[in-house]
Amino acid sequence: MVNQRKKQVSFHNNTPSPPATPEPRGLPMPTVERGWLTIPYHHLAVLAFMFRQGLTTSVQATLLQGLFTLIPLQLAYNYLIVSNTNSNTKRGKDNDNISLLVVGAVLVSLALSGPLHVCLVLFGAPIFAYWKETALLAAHLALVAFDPLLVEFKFDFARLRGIFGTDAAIRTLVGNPVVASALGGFVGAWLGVLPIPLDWDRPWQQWPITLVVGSYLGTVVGGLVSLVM
Amino acid sequence: MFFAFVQFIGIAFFTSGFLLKREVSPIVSDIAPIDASYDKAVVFVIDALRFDFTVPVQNSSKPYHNSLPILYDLAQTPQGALLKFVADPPTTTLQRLKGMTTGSLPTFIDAGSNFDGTAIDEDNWLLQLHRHNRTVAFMGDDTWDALFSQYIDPNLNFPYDSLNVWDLHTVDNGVIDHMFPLLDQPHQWDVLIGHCLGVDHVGHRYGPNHFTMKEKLSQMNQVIADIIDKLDDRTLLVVMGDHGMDETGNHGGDAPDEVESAIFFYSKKPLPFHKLDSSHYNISNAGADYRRVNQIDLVPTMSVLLGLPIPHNNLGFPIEEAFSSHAQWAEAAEACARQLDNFHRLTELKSAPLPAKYDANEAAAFQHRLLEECHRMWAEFDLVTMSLGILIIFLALTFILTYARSIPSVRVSTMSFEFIGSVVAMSLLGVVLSFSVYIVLKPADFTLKKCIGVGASLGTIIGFWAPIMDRFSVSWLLHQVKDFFVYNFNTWSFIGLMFVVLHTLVFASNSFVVWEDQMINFFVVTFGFALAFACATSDKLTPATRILGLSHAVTFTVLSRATAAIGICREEQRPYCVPSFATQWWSLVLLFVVAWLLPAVIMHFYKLSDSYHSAAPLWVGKGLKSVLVVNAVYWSVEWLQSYEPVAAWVPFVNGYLVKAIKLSVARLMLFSTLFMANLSWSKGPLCVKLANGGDRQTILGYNNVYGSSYFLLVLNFLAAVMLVSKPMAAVSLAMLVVQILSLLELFDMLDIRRNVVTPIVFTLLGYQHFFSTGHQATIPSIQWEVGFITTETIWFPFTHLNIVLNTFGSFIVVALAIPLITLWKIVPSNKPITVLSQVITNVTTMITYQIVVSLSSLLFAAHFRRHLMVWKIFAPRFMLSGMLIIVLNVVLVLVTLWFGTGKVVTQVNRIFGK
Repeated sequence: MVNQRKKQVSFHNNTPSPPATPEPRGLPMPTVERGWLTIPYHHLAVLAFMFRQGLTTSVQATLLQGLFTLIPLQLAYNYLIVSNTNSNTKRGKDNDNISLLVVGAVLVSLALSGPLHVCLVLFGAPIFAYWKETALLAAHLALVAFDPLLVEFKFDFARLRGIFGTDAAIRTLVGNPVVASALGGFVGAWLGVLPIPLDWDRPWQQWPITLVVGSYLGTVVGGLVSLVM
Repeated sequence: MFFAFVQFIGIAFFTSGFLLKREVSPIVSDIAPIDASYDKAVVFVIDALRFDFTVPVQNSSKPYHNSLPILYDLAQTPQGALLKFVADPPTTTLQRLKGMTTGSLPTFIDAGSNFDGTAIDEDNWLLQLHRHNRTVAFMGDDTWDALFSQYIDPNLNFPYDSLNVWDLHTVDNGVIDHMFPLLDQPHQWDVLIGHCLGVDHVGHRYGPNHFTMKEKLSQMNQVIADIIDKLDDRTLLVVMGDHGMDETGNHGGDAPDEVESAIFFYSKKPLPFHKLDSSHYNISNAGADYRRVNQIDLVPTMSVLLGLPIPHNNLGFPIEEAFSSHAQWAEAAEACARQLDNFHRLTELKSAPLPAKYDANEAAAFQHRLLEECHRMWAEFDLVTMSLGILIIFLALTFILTYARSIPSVRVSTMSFEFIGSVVAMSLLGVVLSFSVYIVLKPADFTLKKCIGVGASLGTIIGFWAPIMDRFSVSWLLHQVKDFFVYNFNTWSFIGLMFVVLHTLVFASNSFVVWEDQMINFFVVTFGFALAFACATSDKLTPATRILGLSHAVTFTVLSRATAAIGICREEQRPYCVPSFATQWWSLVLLFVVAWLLPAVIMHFYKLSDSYHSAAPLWVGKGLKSVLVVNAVYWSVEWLQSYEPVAAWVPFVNGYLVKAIKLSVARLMLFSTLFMANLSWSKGPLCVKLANGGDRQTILGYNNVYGSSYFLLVLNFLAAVMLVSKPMAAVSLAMLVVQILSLLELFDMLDIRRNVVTPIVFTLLGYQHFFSTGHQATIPSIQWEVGFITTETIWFPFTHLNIVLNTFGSFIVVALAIPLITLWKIVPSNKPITVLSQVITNVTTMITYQIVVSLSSLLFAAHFRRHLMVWKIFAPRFMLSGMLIIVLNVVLVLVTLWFGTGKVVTQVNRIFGK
């Protein structure tokens, strides 16, 4: 899902160099304090837990188990994000109902896993065969990628779109570890498709293990990349 | 045009180094034969007789099982013996006939010459029969005639055209008509060969799982019974298949279903056959563990039984069951060992020689070693020629990259004349120089042809570079490349280049080559999502265009996914792939829906730019619609002819009348789409209309004057391609058109028409629909049968044209649509040369992409030349790449640029030019 990247500006020789900190007009990007705290380390733990539970032998049951493990951790993670985010809007932090935001983000992302399932099918997932696995994948992916985005932007979809739609969006987006981590989740899932065709006959090549692994690792890598840059 | 030429030379070099040739030894064996066991023999070949057709399969209702019981039943009596008969790949009839008569291993290079089998000059048992004054009578598949006509009695030679795979009965009836009178007059012949093609043709046309297969096998069953009635005591009957067929009815590869055939011996002598323990003949599981012999083992067996010397190049070993006792077989084995030893000495093989004293088992071990070594030996590659080919293509690539991307496109067109002059001069110089090099130096392993090829291509490349170097310096060109990456590089270019890089890497692994179709689908859908995302978030779109753009992007993505669901599976993709290409009743319904829907959708797109005027309603609303309806009717009739209840109850549908009507309709349609429609297009139809808007007149369709006119040309070729495509392929092509139109609208909306990603995605669409029109990069998936839609027999060039249109149809359509990236929705330009040079840039980008992919497939085919799967996976893929380079160059240069873009730009500027 490379589509998250947006057009970058193309500079001409005679134009002055761009401002040091790009300011998307009217729609400021939320900023994160103590970025190293908001990297989803718990995704690595959940992934390790699922493999220990026998992800490769019983895919469905383990993914379901992993999902139930992920939800409480994700709630805690959401709280962590909220407490480290400076949303840069006129509304103050205190006006928000934090618990509603934290729980609501998880519920809404679970609901969004439906449309995500449709997207996965469009990308080539089988429609009927393995539909349970695909649904579980969609739920995992929605939780690790959509959920932090929703919390970070406080359900402000217009702002989200505005930021994606600007020039130099990539720079702005990668600057924020939470957003970069979510994008990393999608990129990881996209790359996770590539090992499937190999004829190595390994159990981890089963649908959709490589995509789950890709998205979980992608979120962590995305967050780290943002911190480094 | 000249680089097309350079690329062709490069491909030719690589091919001649890669495809193996075997040195054929002309020595004819004259070792004294053993006494004959039989005076006469009848050899009855049933083409594509797979082994499981001949043995009882419990509880199977497949039409090909239990329909030919006679062989197994007679094999239970002492008079008959049935064995599994394993062919060497390639499993094409020409190679198999060579193998089963010479006992050698014909290599892959011969596979291409199946269309014109050349006479055989290797030692073989027909030649030996001829030398010993025995009379050979033949009837059936004309491949025998092409190979052995000098050894067959001219009065008893009855060949029939073998490649018309839609004709199920002519060959078989011919065999029956000529065979039985001869069986009544045994004094006229010594060996009688009949070769029936019906089973093979049923497989090619309908696949094995079809009721006509049952009919055909039952007919063969009866023919065998009738032959046996007429045999005398001194005649041996051999019934065999030359290869099998896969579950789609095709063959050519090395899958078990393709190589496993059956051989059956029968004689009325008392106790003619020495059979082994019954555990060797296990028929459970469709005979998976049944005793197997090699196809080439027939050669020493036949030779010894008929009292002939074993052919010199034979690598087979006598079949034990065919002899009346173990002692007799041992005697034959000894004779065979002497022949093999002779061959071993004369060809200087490295494997351990035959021991001085040996028994039958040691002889068999010797034969085994020899066969192994020859398998390896005839896989020698000519690395020098291959590297030359790769180098030439690489040089062509560097040039075309410069041409496509570095030089300002306006300069390109002004430089064309300089190019022509210098290229002609330099290539002539190259030819002359290489000729003199050849005369003076006489390089060791270089033929004149190769020398001149190298000279001409190097000359051409130098000829290209000279004018460029004259104007620009290397550092300037490198600077241009740097500029591209620094300033013009955005997300879209990144996506495009990523697709190219990943597609190039596909060839690094056999698994990715096998699953190339899915990779391409994944890329195309990814691009669809990128478009949808761009539409959703771009801040440059108004809400109304955003909705429209999103709907185009969703259409594109959904259609791409739907296209991905159509296709055939190559053997290596099983069991993870479900084929969905066979014609069902609903595919015909879809065909009619397409005939109604596609013109309507195109009309809708034209109305977006207010261009549905004058020529457009005629072309789309009348022309395209009627062609599509006729096409749907044609394929419905075709399906009815093969549908059991109809074919059984209405014999009329398979009669001559229907056949003749079908043939003439197909010819008329192809003629009118390819010739008439293009002729009228060349007169320059425009899709504009003058409208009276009160006091001033406006031209409707002015905004898309180039695009709306050029698209009609694409429709001409699309209609022609659809006619020679099977129903599901036509559905896929219809979706291709809508995909292209959606892309064109989106490129315009998002203002990315000048980005490098656009021609790349078009090429990807070409690949996607190559796979979804029922093709794969394998030899058996070529749809030979469509060659006979317009001709009854092979008739150059019409049969070939059909096959090319069918195989490369999707590429032809996208190659034609490339200029639309530039031309769609622009107003008449007062600088036509700018428009033209942008089109040239896109065309060369497409060629560049194709060369990069081809070069990669060549490199990896060369790298994996010792890979287990090289003939199955890498070699066919490289052949596809080579063919694609040729087809794309021809279409892009001749039709797209010269005919299409040239005409439309001239025409528009003649009318609207300022």
